[in-house]
Amino acid sequence: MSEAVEESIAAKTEQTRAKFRELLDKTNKGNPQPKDVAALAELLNGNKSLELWRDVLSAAQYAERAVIENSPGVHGVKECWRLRLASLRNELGYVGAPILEQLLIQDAALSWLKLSIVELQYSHVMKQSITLTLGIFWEKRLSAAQRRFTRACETLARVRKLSRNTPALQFNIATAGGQQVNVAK
Amino acid sequence: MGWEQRGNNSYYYKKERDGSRVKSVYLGRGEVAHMVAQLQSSSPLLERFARSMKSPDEIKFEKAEAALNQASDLIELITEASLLAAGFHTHKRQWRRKRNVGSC
Repeated sequence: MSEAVEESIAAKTEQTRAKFRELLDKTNKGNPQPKDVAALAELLNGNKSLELWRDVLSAAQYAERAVIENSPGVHGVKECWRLRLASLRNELGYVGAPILEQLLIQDAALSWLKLSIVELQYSHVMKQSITLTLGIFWEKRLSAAQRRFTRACETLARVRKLSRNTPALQFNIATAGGQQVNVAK
Repeated sequence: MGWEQRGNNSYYYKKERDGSRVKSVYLGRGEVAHMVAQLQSSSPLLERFARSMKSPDEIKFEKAEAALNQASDLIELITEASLLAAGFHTHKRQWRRKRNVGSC
């Protein structure tokens, strides 16, 4: 992937993030303005939502590529990571899940991969004679990766639990040409 | 770290922190102390230079980390947004469904 494409994905992700943050600050309080809630719902389910979900998906796919391509190891190992990631996603019920759950599954699987890579690097570093500062640095990296993985799993579990009785959370993006539909299970 | 005048002579001391106390550790005087002082004065510059020169592995790691953080944050935000739009709200960091909000 060229640097220009990477930069455009990063810039678009940042733009979407800012838009969401602004609306979330307005809506996540005791009595939000109905117009703000409506704006949020419009952003998620409205006419332009397809573009939004595509942006989020491409950010997640870019992150996956960045993690795998920048991981240590030869090409074959990276291919194994890619396959393991795909099988893990399937084990978590990626196929057929609503789009939000798909994103969360992708996030959880990717966080697992990152944790595994950091664990490998950590054990490799700890085998050598290292300075205390370097040891602390790797401890922090490992803790951050563990925290990210735990948070991703918790969020997935929470959304699954909450969406059981909330069809509004189970929306899907229809395939080419179709309209967006809500699917209640 | 520096020179301290004791009587008629100057001595080179190193400052070390031990909890809330700062200790002066004697390093020496004369030519050897001058050499140590010179080395010490240039070492922060060298250290800063070494820190600015990241290894290729470090650059790769940071790139992956940045992309992953950005995607994770966005997914977290979109999840919060979906929950809010579906009629949930947070109460003491716990997601709750608002009363009298029918499922659509």
